[in-house]
Amino acid sequence: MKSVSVFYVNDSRLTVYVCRSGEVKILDVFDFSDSSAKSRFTEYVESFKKTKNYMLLDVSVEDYHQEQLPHVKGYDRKRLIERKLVKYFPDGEYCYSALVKRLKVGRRDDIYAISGIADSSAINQVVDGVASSGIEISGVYSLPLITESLMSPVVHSDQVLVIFCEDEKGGRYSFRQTFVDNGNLYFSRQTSISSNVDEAADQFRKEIGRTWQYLNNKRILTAGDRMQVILVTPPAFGRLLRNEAVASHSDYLFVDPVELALNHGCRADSFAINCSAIASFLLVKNTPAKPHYQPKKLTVFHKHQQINRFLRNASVFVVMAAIVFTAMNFKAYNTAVQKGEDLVYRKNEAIKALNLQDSGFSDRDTSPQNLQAMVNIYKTVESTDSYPAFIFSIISKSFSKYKDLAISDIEWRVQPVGDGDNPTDSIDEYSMNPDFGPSGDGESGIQPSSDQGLPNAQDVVINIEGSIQSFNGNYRRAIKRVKSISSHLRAQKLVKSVLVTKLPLNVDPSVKTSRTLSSAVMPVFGIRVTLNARVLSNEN
Amino acid sequence: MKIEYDLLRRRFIIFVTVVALCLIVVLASVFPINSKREYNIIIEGEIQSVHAKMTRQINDMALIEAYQHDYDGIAAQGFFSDESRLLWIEQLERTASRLKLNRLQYHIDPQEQVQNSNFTIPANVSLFKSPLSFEAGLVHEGDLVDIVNDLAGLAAGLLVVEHCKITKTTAKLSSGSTYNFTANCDMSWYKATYQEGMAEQMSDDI
Repeated sequence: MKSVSVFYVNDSRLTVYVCRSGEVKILDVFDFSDSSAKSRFTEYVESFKKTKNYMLLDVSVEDYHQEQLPHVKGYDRKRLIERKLVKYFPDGEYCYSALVKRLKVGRRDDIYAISGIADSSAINQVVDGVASSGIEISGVYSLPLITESLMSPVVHSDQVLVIFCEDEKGGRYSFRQTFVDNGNLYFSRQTSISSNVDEAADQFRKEIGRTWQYLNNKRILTAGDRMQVILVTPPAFGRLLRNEAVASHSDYLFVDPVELALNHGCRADSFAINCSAIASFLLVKNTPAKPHYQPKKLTVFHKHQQINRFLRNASVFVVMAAIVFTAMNFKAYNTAVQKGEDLVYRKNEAIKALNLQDSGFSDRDTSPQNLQAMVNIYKTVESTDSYPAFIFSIISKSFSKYKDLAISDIEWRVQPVGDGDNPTDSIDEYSMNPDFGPSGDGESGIQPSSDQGLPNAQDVVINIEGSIQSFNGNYRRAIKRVKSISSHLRAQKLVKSVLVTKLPLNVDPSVKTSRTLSSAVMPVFGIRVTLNARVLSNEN
Repeated sequence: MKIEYDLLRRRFIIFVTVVALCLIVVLASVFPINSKREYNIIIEGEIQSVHAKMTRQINDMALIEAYQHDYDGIAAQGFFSDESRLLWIEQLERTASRLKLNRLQYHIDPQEQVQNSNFTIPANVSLFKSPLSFEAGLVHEGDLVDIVNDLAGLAAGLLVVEHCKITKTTAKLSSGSTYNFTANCDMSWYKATYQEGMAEQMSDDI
């Protein structure tokens, strides 16, 4: 735990406590009447600049009020409270308000506790000295306002009068009476009594009696209850009171300051602990979120120091972020460099492989695409064999068995599929004759070509004409022979279709037939053979 | 609250300086990375280019393996050579002389580029044909086979018989010789050229 300094200020002196991990120590005491105090304080300034500092006020000029205000919210409430604070404490530097409760009857107004210092001249010398030294005060607090927290370890009633007494000084005991009603400060005042053994107890009893009378007149005290008085006093003062009668309507509860400190987790070895030391420790331990007072000089400096700390932290954050980003960038750069080296290696390897592979191409006159295109076009052009030897071989393969059929004329032509003399385009005048049945090519004449999808497919169409040898007048037999050779031709796998274009005798019902029986006519026939382009291509 | 800059000046200057320096350091560390990454992208592009080239070469090798033999054979046939009209004429005359074909007439048309044919011709290939027609009186149909085969055997291009008609007839010529068949044939000599530039341009376009 870092040490924290608490500037405890009362009417006569400034006491600096240093709190650190469950321990409180007095650093120094600066009496306002001591001329050397200022120079001694200057010696500590640099150390105060390094620690966190609070200021705890315990002055007699502090006033306390309770105000009943209409229950309003937001900005209206803020303005209402501000007006009340200005009314009591015009300079506005030392004023504090806290909501006590809301009434449950009538307008249901709010009750506010207002405290402040109307005349701050007594403490200004300390505040000015601290501010001019450049010491940052994180918050200014009031001892009476933390009385309830201070007494939290002590089991007490809801309404309690707390007496904080200091050591004897100048033959008098100075003590502060603070009345706490249900955890809220109602009033607090400082007074002193003689330390004379014969007078002290009696004067103290009278002081307590006056306080009871005041509270009773204000109807603060619960009727019929005795007022509980908690005394946190030096041992000597406690001994003075123990064997004496208590004030009327009051019960005394003596609290040992050392035991109270221990209950707050505070130990103090080097000096006799008192209320101010315990309060200072408690302030450091449980610092209220909002300071009680905000004197301008200290607050402005504190706010600017907060901005400075923010800038410092922001600078550190920026440096850290820059380091992280730079480190990441260096890492990324290294990764990129390694990747680049790897890529260069791969590129060189690829170029080597390419050069090795390329050596086989360097002396080529003809590109592979040229090879492909030229071979393809060559094969396309020569896809259909229409040389005489090939045509003759197909014809002779069938006609060799038909010696009575003499060929007089062979004509063949290369033509694209579907172009020109398609068998289906021609009228087979004989195929419809029932006397002779199908022309031998009826089905093939209407069959769809399987070569339609073959690009550049070319058919070879062969027209064969001839005559019947040794004809004895039997047309029926002659026609059958023609039909037979037609079927034989069709059986060849290279033949796509066969069409009989001319028969020895035209017996088509649709034509006019006339002939002189005495005339000797050589019976002729005609056959159209279409070779299968796809098979031809494959054959090639 | 009024800001008193005197109380903040020193820390503010430090903060601004720190921010500026850190910004410079960070930016300075970013630029080399971007530069290196751009360099790497270029190298990656070059590697891809080399790989693409290798792939093309592998494809080319496959093409060569598939087509070189055929190409050589086609080249040996004179498919890529200039027209050899004189060779054809000489061969026709040699064949006619050998077969004693006195009645042989031939007709060769000017060479023309095949534009709108039955073939699908690649854009980078120019196909030319020289139409050749002849009419002959034959003693035997085998003479026609010989004539065509003799012409086809020339290394003078691709010979395609487009139309042929052989008619059996018996006639006697004034010279005393006779022939039994009359043949009329229309053929074409095909040859082709390849335009490398266009192929490369097409390849680049792809």
